[in-house]
Amino acid sequence: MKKIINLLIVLTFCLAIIVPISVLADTQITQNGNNIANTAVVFNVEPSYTVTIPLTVELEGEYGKAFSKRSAITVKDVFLENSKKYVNVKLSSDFTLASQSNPDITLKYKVYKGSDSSGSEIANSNSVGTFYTEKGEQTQDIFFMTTSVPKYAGNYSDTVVFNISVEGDD
Amino acid sequence: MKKKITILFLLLVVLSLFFITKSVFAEERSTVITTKIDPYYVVTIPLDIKVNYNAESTDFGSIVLDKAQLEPNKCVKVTLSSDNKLDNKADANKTIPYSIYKKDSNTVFSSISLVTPNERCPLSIKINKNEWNNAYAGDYEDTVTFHIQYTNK
Repeated sequence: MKKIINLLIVLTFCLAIIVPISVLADTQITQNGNNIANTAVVFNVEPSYTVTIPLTVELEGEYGKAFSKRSAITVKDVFLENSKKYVNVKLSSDFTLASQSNPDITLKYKVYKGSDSSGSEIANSNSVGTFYTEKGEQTQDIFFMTTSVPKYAGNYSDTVVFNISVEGDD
Repeated sequence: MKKKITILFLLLVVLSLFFITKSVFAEERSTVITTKIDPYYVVTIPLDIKVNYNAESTDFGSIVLDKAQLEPNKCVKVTLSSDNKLDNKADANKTIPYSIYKKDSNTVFSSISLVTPNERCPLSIKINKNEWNNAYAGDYEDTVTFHIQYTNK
């Protein structure tokens, strides 16, 4: 039984290797024939894109004011299957900065689309931006801001997860 | 038996397809959001004060924490140092002893720990009737020094 399963697994891998190689056999044209032959040109380009997200964002501010920082998501050379497909960058966060010395002390913040807080707020699991096929760079500014004036001094941190996926109709 | 193997094979194919699709079309990256809020505070201490002759108690203003953004376990500690003697300007050997009191509790002031913005400690200068009676005529003065320290509670 084990032998059969192992054989199957090996066979699966072998098939995976063989399939791309045996695309098409050469066509031979002889003088006796009608000198016409068809060649299927197979052109397979994988979708590609480069998404750059900030490694860290440090909010800045002064006494008596909310702390904030502008940042950006950059997507370069988006190359997808069709014009309906797009790269979707979603954000996931609890929007809470916790004090490193005392995690019970927290500081809420919001994320906005654009370069300041006048943009639309990005809720948890919502899209930061969608990027369609385009050569070159596409940028989406994002703005982080605490929801209140910080009460306590100290070092705070939180982690935001960006989920990048290709979506849209075939 | 054959059925089981076929199902297993199909399962393997489906699973491998799923993982391939997943790895191509979905990725996760994280960004660390940080902020460093430096401690900030403004403390007001009493100005120069004139003590009237024979006054046993004189308002000395207040120590006030005007603005404060402190770390949770910290406070602003204000202590006072003085020789507690008003010196005669003509002869420093002639003195009038005095004490600085917390006005609210009527206890001698030594220090106070402030945490909350607008927290204050009103002070008063007390000179006993006897000291006034024994004092030489003339102008007297002294300097008190306030020490302000950002420290643990």
